[in-house]
Amino acid sequence: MTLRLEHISFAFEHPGKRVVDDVSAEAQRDRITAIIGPNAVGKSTLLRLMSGVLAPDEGTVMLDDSDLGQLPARVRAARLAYVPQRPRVDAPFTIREVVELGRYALPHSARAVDEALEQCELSDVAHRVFNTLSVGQQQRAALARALAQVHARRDAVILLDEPTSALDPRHVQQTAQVLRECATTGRAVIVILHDLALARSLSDDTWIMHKGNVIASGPATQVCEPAVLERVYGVRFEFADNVLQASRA
Amino acid sequence: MSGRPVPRIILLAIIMVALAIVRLIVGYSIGWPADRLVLELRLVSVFGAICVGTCLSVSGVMLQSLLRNALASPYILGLAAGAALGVGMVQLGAVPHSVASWVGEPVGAVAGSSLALLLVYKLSLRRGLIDPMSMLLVGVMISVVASALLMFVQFMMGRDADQLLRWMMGRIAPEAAPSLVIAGSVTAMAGLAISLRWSRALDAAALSDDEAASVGVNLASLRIRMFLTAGVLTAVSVLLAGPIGFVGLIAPHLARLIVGSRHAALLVGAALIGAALLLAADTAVQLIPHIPSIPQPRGLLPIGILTSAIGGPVFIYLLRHRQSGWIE
Repeated sequence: MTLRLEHISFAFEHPGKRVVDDVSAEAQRDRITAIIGPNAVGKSTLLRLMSGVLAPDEGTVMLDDSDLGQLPARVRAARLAYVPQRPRVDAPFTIREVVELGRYALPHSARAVDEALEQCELSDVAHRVFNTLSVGQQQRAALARALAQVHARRDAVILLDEPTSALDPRHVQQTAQVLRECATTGRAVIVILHDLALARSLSDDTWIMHKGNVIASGPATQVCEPAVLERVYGVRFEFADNVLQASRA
Repeated sequence: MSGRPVPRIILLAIIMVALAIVRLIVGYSIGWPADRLVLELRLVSVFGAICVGTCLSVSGVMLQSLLRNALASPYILGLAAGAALGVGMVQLGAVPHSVASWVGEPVGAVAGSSLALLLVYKLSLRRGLIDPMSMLLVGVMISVVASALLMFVQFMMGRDADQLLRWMMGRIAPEAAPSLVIAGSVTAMAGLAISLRWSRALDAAALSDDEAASVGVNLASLRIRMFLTAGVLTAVSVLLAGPIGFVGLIAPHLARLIVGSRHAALLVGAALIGAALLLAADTAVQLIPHIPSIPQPRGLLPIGILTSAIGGPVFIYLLRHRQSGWIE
């Protein structure tokens, strides 16, 4: 199973600057693909296009042999789960109720909800109202909602926009472990990350985005090279104790 | 609150039925009406109150979900102001007399609210999808413009504006045509049944637009259906009773406290609470002339005055004492 982008472009205004410009790339099952790049280069827009919640102006997003744009919403929901950077719930729903919403287009499954809550260490706070929790807990609840959505679907794709941005180190590690489990059970995981060290250690493949394009893609160890990153981010990078980090020079 | 909403819904239904029986007993005289005509008039009032209460609260639930705003009420989209303007135009004679005498004030109300509805819908589309924030702002502006035009109509009517002013205060009319109340009741029940069919989608639509689309909700279609249903229900309530404030705002919030936020229970709970509130207010209006110690108004007190006077403080109480995760 693959999620394939074929020359996709997108602009929010017409006429206007293309936020995503002629991108072609492919994410594979059993693998974690990290998307990295500076702010405002089109990463989140690209992820929304890949999830089907935005339609490209040009090009096609293919899920296996199907055009994602032609799939009915419910069919797409069974195969693709999307987690935004800032999850939002405009109702006083509990965490459990939010996670249950992942099953909206699918048969109800208490087991799927329970397992997702457990995986994200939310079982103890499942009765609490989503909007009264910390941003980090809300991010984990959104991940649990996505896990409940693709429960038992080994051909699913999970797309996440900076899922660790508000998490403490322990929960970053725990989330990374959950994503690895998803990939090892056959799913494709595509995740936007700003933590380059995490991107390098977590992902199998990395796409580097710059000015609306994917300018480099491939195995993380090959793509996350200081020279490439320096060109994209405009700062110097070096390895310290085998950990990639921006240098002061 | 989630838990077990069914027993609470049954309790609300019992309260509503009890209030309906009380309303049948209270009127110009207190006691079960011996005269069949009086009984029929009171039955029209009871069904009118249940119908208007259901329409306003179901519409309120849908609009609060659609607009992602806890302060949304059926009148926020300019429907009441549009309807009042339509009635005012008919009374002023701005509509040719031959047409006005044929169509009457109810059609003026429906035409005014439909025009407001159409304008709000057209002006709030963004990339083919209703944008909640645009809809809220456009609705408020349509209300402001329609209210200004209505003031102009009142100014032009001079002393003849009294009837229009009374209509704008809201009233459950016992002399309303039974066929109109039956048609309104059928529409209210149909609106409730239709919205219950969408209850799971309404739950999922509480997620951000992207997440809702990701879990399989067709937001564009859902929002148009919600908007139209809320509009029709509001128009029916205005047609039957004029603009009645706060019921459509308060009933959904009270229902959330009692039966939880899942829309299947929330819609039924809000409909029962809305109907009960209208029945209680209509009964209170009927009781006032029986209290000799207070100054008596000219005719019955308009029900809209009572609902707004009580609804405002109740809402402030909810705002200050309830941390529901939405009203905080």
